[in-house]
Parts: sequence; C-alpha cells; structure tokens
Amino acid sequence: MSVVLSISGLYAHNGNFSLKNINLDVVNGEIVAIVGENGSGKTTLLNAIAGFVKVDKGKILLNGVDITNREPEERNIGYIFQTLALFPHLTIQDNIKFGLRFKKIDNAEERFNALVKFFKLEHLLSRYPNELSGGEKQKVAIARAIILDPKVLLLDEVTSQLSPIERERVSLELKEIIKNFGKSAIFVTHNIDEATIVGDRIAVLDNGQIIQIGVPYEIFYSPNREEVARLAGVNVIKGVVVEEEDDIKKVDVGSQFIYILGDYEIGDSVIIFIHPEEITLSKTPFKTSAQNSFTGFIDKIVSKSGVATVSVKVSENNTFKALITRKSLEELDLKTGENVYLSFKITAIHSVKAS
Amino acid sequence: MRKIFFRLALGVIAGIGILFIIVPLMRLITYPRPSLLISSLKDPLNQNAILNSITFAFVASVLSVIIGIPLSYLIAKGYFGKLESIIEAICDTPLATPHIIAGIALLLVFGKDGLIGKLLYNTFNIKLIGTAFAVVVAMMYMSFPFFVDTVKEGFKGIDPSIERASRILGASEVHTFFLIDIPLVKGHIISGFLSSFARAISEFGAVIIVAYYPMTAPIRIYDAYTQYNLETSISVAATLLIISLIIFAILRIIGRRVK
Repeated sequence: MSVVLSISGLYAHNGNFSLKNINLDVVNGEIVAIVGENGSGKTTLLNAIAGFVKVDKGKILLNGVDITNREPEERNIGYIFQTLALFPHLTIQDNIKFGLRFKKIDNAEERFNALVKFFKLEHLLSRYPNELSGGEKQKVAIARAIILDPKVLLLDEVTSQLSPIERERVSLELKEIIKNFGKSAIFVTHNIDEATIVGDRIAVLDNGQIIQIGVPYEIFYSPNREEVARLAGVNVIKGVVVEEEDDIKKVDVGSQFIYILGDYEIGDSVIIFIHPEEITLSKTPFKTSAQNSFTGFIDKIVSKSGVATVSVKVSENNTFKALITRKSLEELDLKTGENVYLSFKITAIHSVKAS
Repeated sequence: MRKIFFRLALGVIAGIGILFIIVPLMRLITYPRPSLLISSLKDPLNQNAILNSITFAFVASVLSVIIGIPLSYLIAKGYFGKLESIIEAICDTPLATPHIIAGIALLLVFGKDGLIGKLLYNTFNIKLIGTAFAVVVAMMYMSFPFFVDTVKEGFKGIDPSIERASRILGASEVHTFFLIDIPLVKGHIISGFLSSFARAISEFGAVIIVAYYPMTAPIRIYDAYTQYNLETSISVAATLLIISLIIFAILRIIGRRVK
C-alpha cells in the first residue's frame, strides 16, 4: 500500500497551543481516526495539514510532494468542517460546483451528476443550505469536497452535533462513502466508539502529541498510556510490584493486591488496565480460586442501551467499573450502596511499566 | 398578570420613544400651509440645495463604501493585531467630535494654509475650501464611522470555516473575498451605506465651516432662518424633510430587495 499522506516531525502552534512531533502516515484508501479530548489539538492538526496553521517544523508530503508551505488552495485536500461550512448565499448546485471554478476536473459535469445521484440530491439543487436538513447538508459538504477528487479527506468532528444513535449510523455511512470513493481520510472525533467504527487505525492525541496509534483492537486492549486507557473507558489502577513468583507478580495497589503477568521486577511501578467487560460481579463469594477477587460496595449504576456500567468501590483509592448486560443487572438485582464481589482473570489484565 | 403588566410597561416606554422621534417631525411637516410647501419646492434656491445635498451625500457614501470595506475587513480579520482596538477607536472618533470642531480640523488640513490645501494651492492654484469637494469631505468625515462600524460587524460575523472551505476548494484569498465575504456582508454594506447617507445628508456643523456654498439643504434652512424669518425656514425645512424621508424610504426599499 502506498503512502498518500506522510507527516513527519511536525511542530505547529495556534496561539498558546502547540502540536509536538507529530508523525503519521496514511496509506491509500485508509481511514485514520484521530481521537482525543477537547483541546488535545485535533482541529489544529487538521488545520496544519490543510494549510490554515503555519508549520513551525517538520514536513507534510502528499503523494510524495512536499506541501508543507503551500497555500490551502494549492494542496488538493478535501476538508469537511464541523459546521459543514456550506456557503449560505449559494444554491446547493453552486455549492457543489464551487471548486470547479478554480480546478480543472476531467468530465466535471458527469462527475457532478454522478455525485448528485449517489447522494440523492437531485431535488435539492436549486435550494439554499438553510432549507436543508442536517443530513442533507452533510451530503452536500461531502459531495462538494469529493467532486474535486482530493488525494485525502479531512473530517473534523462532523457528527458532533448529532444524537448518539444518529452518530453511529452516520459514522458508518461516512465510512462507506469514503471507502466507496476509494479515498484516504483523517477522521477527527472525541468519541472513541465513533473512532472504532470509522477508523482502520486510531491515533490518540493528547496535549498536542500522538501518544498511541494502532488498529482499534490495540487501542482498546493494549493501551500504552493511562490517557489512552481512560479514553477507551478501561479501568486504570496504579501500583508497585512487591512480590514475584515465576511469571506472576503481586502488585500493591493501596490496601489491596492485584496479581498480574509481566516482565517486572520488585519495586517497579506499573499501570494496570482492566476492561470493564472482563470483570465479573456476584452477590455471593466466588467459588473459584481466582487470585484477583475483591469485595466492595456499589457506588453508581449507569444503564445505557441495554448494558449497565456498575462502579464498585473496593478501597478508598480504587473503583472498578464493570460492564454487564441489563438482563444480568436485573438477575443479580444489584442496587447502589449494596456490597458486591468482583473478580477478573489474570490473563484479562494488560499492564505497562509506569514512566 | 405580572407578565402582562411588564409587557404593558415596556410598550408604554417604547411608545414614548417612538413619539419622541416622530412628533417633532410630524409637527414640522404639518405646520406650514400646503401652498407654502409647494412654493418652497418651486424655489430654485431650494431645488439646488436639495440636489446638492443628495448628490454630495451620495458621493460621500460611495467613497465611504470604497474606503470602508477594506478597512472594515482588515479590522474584522484581526490584521491590525494588538493595534486593533486603537484603530477601532480612531475610526469612531468623528462620532465623539463636535461637528463644528471637525469642520475646523478639516479646514486645517484642506484650507488654503492647511497641510494638503496649501500644497494644492501653491502647486496647482487649486482651492478646496468652499467647493463641492470640501462639502463631500466634511460629509464623509462625519458619516464614515457609521459605515465602518456596520460592515465591520458583518465581516466579524462570518464563520471562519466558511472562508476556509472556500480556500481549500481552490479559491485564493482574493477570490474568497469577492465570492464569499462580500456577498455575505451585502446586507451590512447596504445598511452601512444607508446609515452613512442619512448621516451625510443631514450634516450641517462641519459643512458650514468648510463650505457655505455650494449650499446644501441644512445650510439653506439656516440661511432662510437668518435672512428671512422662522416661517420661511419652516416651510423650507418641511419641504426638505419630506424629500429626505422619501429618498430614505426608497433607498431602504431598494436595500431590502437587494438583500
């Protein structure tokens, strides 16, 4: 697979905020989802790629051509903005055709007709953006970008104004559209679930730096930093290795111990990650000899879309979140404030040495 | 009940405000006999003064548009950086300057002994004071801030991502300015033009200092008042007011259609 967009050692700043040493390759037809909290630098990164934020250091190559210092209009990049940024004074037809005034595209009219048909916009061409629904506007914004056959598409939190249910559906549609047109894309979102749906790979951005990049599975099951784990909704427990027996290490996590596997030495500080769905809950003590068993009281229960997140406080410093089905929640008859037993397998734990 | 009382109170206060504006004007229009208004309208001196006012105010407003659009754009887009608030304050200075003082200040620049006036007089024997040029300059000086303030707010209100969308779709900064920014502030340009025209056509203090002649409508009213009597000046004033209101109404209608 050939690299379409290559960003190396990129430093840029916007006001007091800085992007630091961004390295990212996007291969042909790949969608990289960039996920991060608000203020992590996601939009600044897109704006640096598009040429709206000046690059202080580093390079941006598009199909091997250095575009680092090119004007935005000379980059051949498609950009779908969070606001969609349709031109309010132009009809939908003129919006879609806007870029054709400046860029020569072979069979432009055929391309226009094909896009209009694909997005089912035929009946909207003479309307103005304020007469369209949110979904229709989104299609227009995508058609307006794709008509110019950009090498790469940048999408900046385009679903952030939708409801969670709509967001999932639209994210999937966007992925299909991008794949259908064979485009490479960078899809920015603050929602890890959305990043998983859309991204072939996910890059986690924190405080202006990419702190982990990998396929969704890696981000979820092998986070390398506390920030990544928290973003993925994984339980994060910090502790110090106090004993070792063969491969099994006993980690002091405050007033309790967690047993983990890993190449650590006594005295090492470690960060332990446990997925909420790997935690089993019971109202009675477990009959198994699992080493990682705790008792605690239910601090909070949040039910959402057929699943429930149960927060169990096992000590002053440690609270585990367990994900169970709503049916299990009813069967176990769990209630806030009640005592509960929890357990997880040693093999379900992912851990890293704390830096 | 409290809600009704509150709205009623607001309505009464608003009504006082509207009456405050309209009563003096209605009184002026209805005061002279219609025959006096007609004869006043037939007076060539009045006709000339009205025509001068309309023409000069129009030219001053067009000049405000030509100079004001780039200035408003640069202010709104932050091109002046830390100097922005100073530049904005400078642009608004004429609003806080007594009109006669502004006239004297212009005299010191465009008068025979002024910075520019002296140069033109000595080099080309061109006199600016007491000419149509001086009237237009005085009108523009006093009305320019109205245009800049209105259009600046228009430019500031444009979502930056719309301009960025234009750029990434291939439009240069110049194309974006003419194809996106200007159409999006069209309404503000029209409003700014109307405000500036209204201000210019009514200017008296600054104009009388720099040019008594060619006589504009407000100076003609003042002239009638000082040379004849209040009755004469009232009929001239009422005639001019009616014409000004008609012009203003026409421009507003045109403006709304263009928007």
